[in-house]
Amino acid sequence: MSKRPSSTYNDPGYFYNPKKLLKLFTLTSVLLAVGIIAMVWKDWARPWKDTQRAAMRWEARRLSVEEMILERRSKSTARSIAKARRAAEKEVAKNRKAIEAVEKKIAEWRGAFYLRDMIYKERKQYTLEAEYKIHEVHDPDELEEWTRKLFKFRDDEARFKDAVRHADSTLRGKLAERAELESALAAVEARRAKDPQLKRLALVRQGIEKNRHWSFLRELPLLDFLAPPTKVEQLVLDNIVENYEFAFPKKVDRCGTCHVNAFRVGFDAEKFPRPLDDKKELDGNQFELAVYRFVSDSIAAVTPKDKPEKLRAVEIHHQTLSFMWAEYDAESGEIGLDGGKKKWQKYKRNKKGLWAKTKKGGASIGEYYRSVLNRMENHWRTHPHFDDMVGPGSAHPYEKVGCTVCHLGRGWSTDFGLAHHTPDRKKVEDWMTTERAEKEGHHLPLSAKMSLTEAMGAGRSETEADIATGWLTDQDVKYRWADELGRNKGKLKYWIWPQYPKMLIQASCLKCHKAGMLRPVEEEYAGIHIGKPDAAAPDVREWGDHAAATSVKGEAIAASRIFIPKKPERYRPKGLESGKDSFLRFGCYGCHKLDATVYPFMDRVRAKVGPPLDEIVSKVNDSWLEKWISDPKSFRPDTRMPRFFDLSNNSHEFQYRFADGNFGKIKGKLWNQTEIWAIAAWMKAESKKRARKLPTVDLSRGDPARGERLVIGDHDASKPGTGGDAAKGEAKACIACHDIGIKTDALKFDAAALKHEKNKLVGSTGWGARMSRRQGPTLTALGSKVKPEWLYAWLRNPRGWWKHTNMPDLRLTEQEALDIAAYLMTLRSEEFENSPAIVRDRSVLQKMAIELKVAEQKEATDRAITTVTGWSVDEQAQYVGKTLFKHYGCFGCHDIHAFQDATPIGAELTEWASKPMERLEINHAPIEHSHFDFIYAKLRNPRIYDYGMPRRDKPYERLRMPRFGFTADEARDIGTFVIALVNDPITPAARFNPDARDSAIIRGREIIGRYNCQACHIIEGEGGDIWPVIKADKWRPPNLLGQGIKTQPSWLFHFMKDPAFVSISDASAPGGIVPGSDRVRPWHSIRMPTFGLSDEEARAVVKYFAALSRAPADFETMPTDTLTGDGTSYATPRIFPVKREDDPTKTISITARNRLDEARAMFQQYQCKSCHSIDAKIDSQAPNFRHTRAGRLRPEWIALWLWNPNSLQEGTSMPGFFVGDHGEPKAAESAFLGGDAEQQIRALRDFVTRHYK
Amino acid sequence: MDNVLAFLRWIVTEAAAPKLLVPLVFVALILTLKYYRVVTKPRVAGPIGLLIVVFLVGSCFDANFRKIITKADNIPIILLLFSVFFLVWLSLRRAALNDEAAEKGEPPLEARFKRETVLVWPDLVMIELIVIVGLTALLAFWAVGLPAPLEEPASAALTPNPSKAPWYFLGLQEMLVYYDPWYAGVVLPTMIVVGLMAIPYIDTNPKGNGYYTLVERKFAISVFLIGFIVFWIALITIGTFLRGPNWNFFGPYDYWDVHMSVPLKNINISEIFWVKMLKQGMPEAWYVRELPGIVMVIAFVMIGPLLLAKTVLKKLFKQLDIVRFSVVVTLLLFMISLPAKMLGRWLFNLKYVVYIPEYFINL
Repeated sequence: MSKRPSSTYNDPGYFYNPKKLLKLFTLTSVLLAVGIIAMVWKDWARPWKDTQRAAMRWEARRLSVEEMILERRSKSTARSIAKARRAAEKEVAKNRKAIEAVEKKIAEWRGAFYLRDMIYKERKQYTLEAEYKIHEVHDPDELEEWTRKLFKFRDDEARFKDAVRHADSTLRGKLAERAELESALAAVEARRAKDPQLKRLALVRQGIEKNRHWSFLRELPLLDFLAPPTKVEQLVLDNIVENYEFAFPKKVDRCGTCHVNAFRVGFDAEKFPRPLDDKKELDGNQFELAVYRFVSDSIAAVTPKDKPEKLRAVEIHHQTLSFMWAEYDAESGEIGLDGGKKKWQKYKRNKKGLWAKTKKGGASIGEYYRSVLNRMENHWRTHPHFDDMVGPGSAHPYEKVGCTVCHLGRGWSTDFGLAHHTPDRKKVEDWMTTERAEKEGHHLPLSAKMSLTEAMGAGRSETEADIATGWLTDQDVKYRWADELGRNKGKLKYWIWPQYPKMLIQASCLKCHKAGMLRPVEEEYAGIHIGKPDAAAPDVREWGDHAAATSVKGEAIAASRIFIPKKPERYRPKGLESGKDSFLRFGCYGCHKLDATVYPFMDRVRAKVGPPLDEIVSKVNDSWLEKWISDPKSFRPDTRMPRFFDLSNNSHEFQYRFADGNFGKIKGKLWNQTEIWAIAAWMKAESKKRARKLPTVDLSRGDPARGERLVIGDHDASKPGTGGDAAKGEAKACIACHDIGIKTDALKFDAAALKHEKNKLVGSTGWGARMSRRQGPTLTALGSKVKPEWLYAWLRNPRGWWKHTNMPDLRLTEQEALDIAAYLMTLRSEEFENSPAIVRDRSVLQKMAIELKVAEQKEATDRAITTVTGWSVDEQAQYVGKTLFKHYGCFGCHDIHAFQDATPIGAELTEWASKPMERLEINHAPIEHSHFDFIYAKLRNPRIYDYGMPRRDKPYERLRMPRFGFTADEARDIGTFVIALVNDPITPAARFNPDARDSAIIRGREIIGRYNCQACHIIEGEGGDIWPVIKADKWRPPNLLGQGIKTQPSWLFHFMKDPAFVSISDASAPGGIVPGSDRVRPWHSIRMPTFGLSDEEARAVVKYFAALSRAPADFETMPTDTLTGDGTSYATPRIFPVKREDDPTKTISITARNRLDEARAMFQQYQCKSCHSIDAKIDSQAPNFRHTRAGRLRPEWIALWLWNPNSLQEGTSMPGFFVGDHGEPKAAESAFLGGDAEQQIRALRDFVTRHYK
Repeated sequence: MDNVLAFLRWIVTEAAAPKLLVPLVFVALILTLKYYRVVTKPRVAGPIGLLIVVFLVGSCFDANFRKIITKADNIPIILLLFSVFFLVWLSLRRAALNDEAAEKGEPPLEARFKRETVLVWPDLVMIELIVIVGLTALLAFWAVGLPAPLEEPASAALTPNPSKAPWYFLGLQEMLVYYDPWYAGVVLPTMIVVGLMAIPYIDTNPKGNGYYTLVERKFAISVFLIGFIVFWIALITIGTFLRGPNWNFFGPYDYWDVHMSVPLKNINISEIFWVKMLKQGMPEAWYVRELPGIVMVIAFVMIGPLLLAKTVLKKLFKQLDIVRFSVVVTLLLFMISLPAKMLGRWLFNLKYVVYIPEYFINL
């Protein structure tokens, strides 16, 4: 610093005092330093870094525990290896001199090699130069000169190269010599390297070392940019993009930054050891493994911020662990606490809060571990359902799908609040009941505390009470965001897609699963796992693979050997799938369009859910119709028909501005009843134009008692004489689909409770909601509704009256239909019939007509008045009825000619959930502003958004969605489905693309659900609801497990098309055709009705069953086999545990002739003829052999059946000739065909199907 | 107490509406300029400043107010308001002192200190260093305490509501309320820039050089302050704090409700003339239809300068040559066109003076 001229100090104009400046400078510098420290600190202490540091520390602890355990476990191995090593060393020491000599040589030759290699590489340059010159030089002399040189250089090069090779091979030889001399040591090392435990130990130690390495320095603030131990885990997804309209960047997720263990196995509660009183768990090794994994995991699960109690609890783990392993006896493999006894003590907390052994009470270690795990932080855990959801082998591995495509929220945020976490609703509910929440004004909604009646009792009007309770239930409580749970400052304002709470997470599935959802299904069939791809069965081919089908001729089903399947946990997609089912079942699509190009299942929706109204006048009696419209549930509590009237926004007295401009009041009820009057009047008039003439029926000819037997079957035990065998030939099993009000409890039926353990399914079967007795309408009061003539006509031909009905043709005779009609007409509801008829007020009707003219036709008021007053009452009613029919969108569910091309009245839902929140009109409804809450509240109380809105003088501006009376669960599920309808661009590669088999199953399940097949049959292990009604096993509709390999595709197709008349081509039959009306089971009382499936549906059913069984479903003729052939071309599942071919001594020569003879002899010996017949006229007890020959059964199935009938159909009277009751082979019993069961079965099968006459 | 608070709220809300706030600021500025010697006295200005602080702090008890004020990107605007207030006060105060001194025949304050030169080393370097360090420290603390207010990724289908320009353009955006984009967004800003560039050629007054004064440059300073404070800073303030979703006006204590709708039916001069006054339909031809508006505009442009030359700018007209006077008057007319249209909007719901959608000419 140059010296300041002293004069300036005295200069009064000199303004700046250097001391002051210095002070100022110091101050600002200190401030800057503090600012920089704050900045660095803020960066260093970011929450995710803390999380990762904690995770690293606990990983270190986990590793140390693992090291300890591994050390203990491998102690004996290590000891024996050490011993071997000592021996080997001794061995090697003997050769010391030789080794030393070799090593000297090795050193020499290593030097020689290096030197020669150097020289060779140098000489090579000369060659290269000469080669270059030859190409470039043009002077002939010079060229000759270089050519000469090149030859010389090449010679040199070759010589040196040779020398290098010589040195190299000599060196190798010497090295091998040394290795030979030291081979004993090498063998020991190899053993050590191969031992899995030691290998693991080495890995663990590596991990420990890595964790230790420099971690302190690398973590230092400001230095941590060099090689930080903490890193943001960023995942950039290729196939999943964000939708910013016109820009579709790849999705980025950083959730793994904090959820450190979410994608690693072993940090989940499911992995804890099961309670110790289970005897199996006393298997020492198994338990040891489980405990070890559990302990190390739970140690990893504790964070440093945990309460001391929890930390102490983990310390206990250490104690327990070391204690246990101290007792571990490596030789016997037994572990135990009391001197090696296999008895585990219980544990109890002592005064210090530690766990100590106790004789009485207390918890087992397993229970104790469980309690620790339950307190584990969420983000320390493995993702639930790891193997199905995010695991590398699952359908949605983390690396490909990420997190926020399902969970929503902001993927690239590494901050709890900014990632937009959403708390579980249950937790919020719990929080809201705390005193503090009450204090801060968070109240649990009314409904959590009271019912509708109670709410009204508390001085609320019906509407208010409806609001207070309508959108909530006891089990499902609305949440409001609580700051306490958000940890941060609550919701992030600017993020449009907050994370789904747990209960709604399924809403994301539909983004990719538009084609459907499917869990792998494998049939386990009579102990034989069908078609399971298996290395032992290389000839397995994929289902539906036609190329393979021709190349592997004959081997139609590849059945592996006896197989113990892994039983995955049962999984029922309750939310989304059942919501979708309800959406379709309640016909929501009638008013709310769902684009079929986006949602392919909409393509297969055939019809409107309600019956057509074109002939309503001939179907129902007059007084019924109006009362029904007014309140459908009062007639039929379980009906899907919703209620439009007397709801919260139209049931009250409202002020109305009349056409003359004056205000007046009208009672809501009166208004509603007038509307109903008009609608019914119009419908009747309209349907009179089209109704066909009904047959004249004399119902008195019908016998109601017989009708009852036909409808109910032999169920009703309370009426002796009507049940039992008397009805067995007559029952039509109407109650499979209809509720007629008899003892519903008695009809409850649990397929799983049946003794069909053997015939079970592996995998999930939870799909859809089975309708069972809700399939058809409840018939308890049918007599009060319909006209008998119509009922008779309907029973004879349901499709003739309603093209799209699901009601099948039961092929009733005239008398049967009369009987059933007579019986059903006796079912009446006095209460409904006697309920007051609706009021008809002409003045209100006129007002309504004027109002509608103005509101719907947009006419000027004075013109409307002139027009309407000029009409007769009937004309007014017609006009009002038709307009209202349109206004309320009745045509959404019911076909009627006048509105056959009308557009639906509801909002389109295809991308509904992508609407911004503020575009949803919630008004004053006291609900959370979220898409789900909007739709949930709307479903529970469709008029809720009129709450508190002063619209009452405009009756046709009110909300008009009717009340379906959804339960809380239904509303939640439908809500989940509706909020799943988003416009989220998922690239085709990321979607669920079902293969042929999956598609067949998805489509098949739709049909099975649509026609309620499971009401009678057990399909995929579920259903058979009618079974308890039928007392004898053999009269029950069959369990369709294995249907795919049982019947031939073409037969099943024809059967589905028309079960009553099956004609199958069969070369052996006269004319090549077996004429129909072949009753497969003549003794059955309940007949498979004719459902009138379309070809597509029938084909889909065939494919579905084939897909379930992994059997081919090509409609080609099945491969045939004759005894004159070589006898092997037939498809036979390899079901035999012992293959005779493997045993050369048993090989016998079988000719076609002796095969036929032997088969005939077997047929005689087993007395097949005594039960089975082949004559069409004889109704034998066992199936007629004609069926086996009419292209019905698959040959491979017949072989299975002969092998073990009891396992296919429990309790069958068919004896098992080849295996015993428990599936043990009995082949030795008979000496036919060399005692070879496989040959015997084939021969017998072929004889019965081809040669027996 | 609640009633008093409610009343105060009502007053503030009413006063904050542009139709009152802009005139209020204008009147306050004129009064300040007129009575600047009194107003800038610490005894007077101090309490005024204090009142503003009390208003701000007191209002922060209101949740909505607090939310708007403490929004991370609004904090600089608060600082801007304070610094503008302080600097205007400082200059006017100095001007007042200097003008008083000049009346007494004394030299201005600035002349009494020989501070025109500073040693580069060490003084200037030192000061600069201190400022650099201090500002860096400030930025560091600011960054730690108020992180950047990042929002969701931009989506063309989901634009933010309100969509706000950066703070320095909010004045322009506010002009868009009153004028068509081509005028408020293109012509007016161009004229502002052109006008600023023209100042050295117009304003040749050598007085006030190196010291503060108002008396000697009354016209120049007044016009500048009106343009800067009323038509720039006030509009920025309105745009930042008082314009909410759908560009609706929201009082400082109001909740920014997306659904709020305001009954507003603006009409054109032509509609006022033909429909309201003459009670007939609109003529078909645009030149007939828009005749009243066109006449008004021509009158504003032609008669305005003459009027100004005869009245307010009499002195200036004498001082300047005809070219420079024309330039000054043209610029002034552009400036006046903004408050004129604002008044038209507030008083008559005026939409456009000239409305020719056929040629996209709307004024």
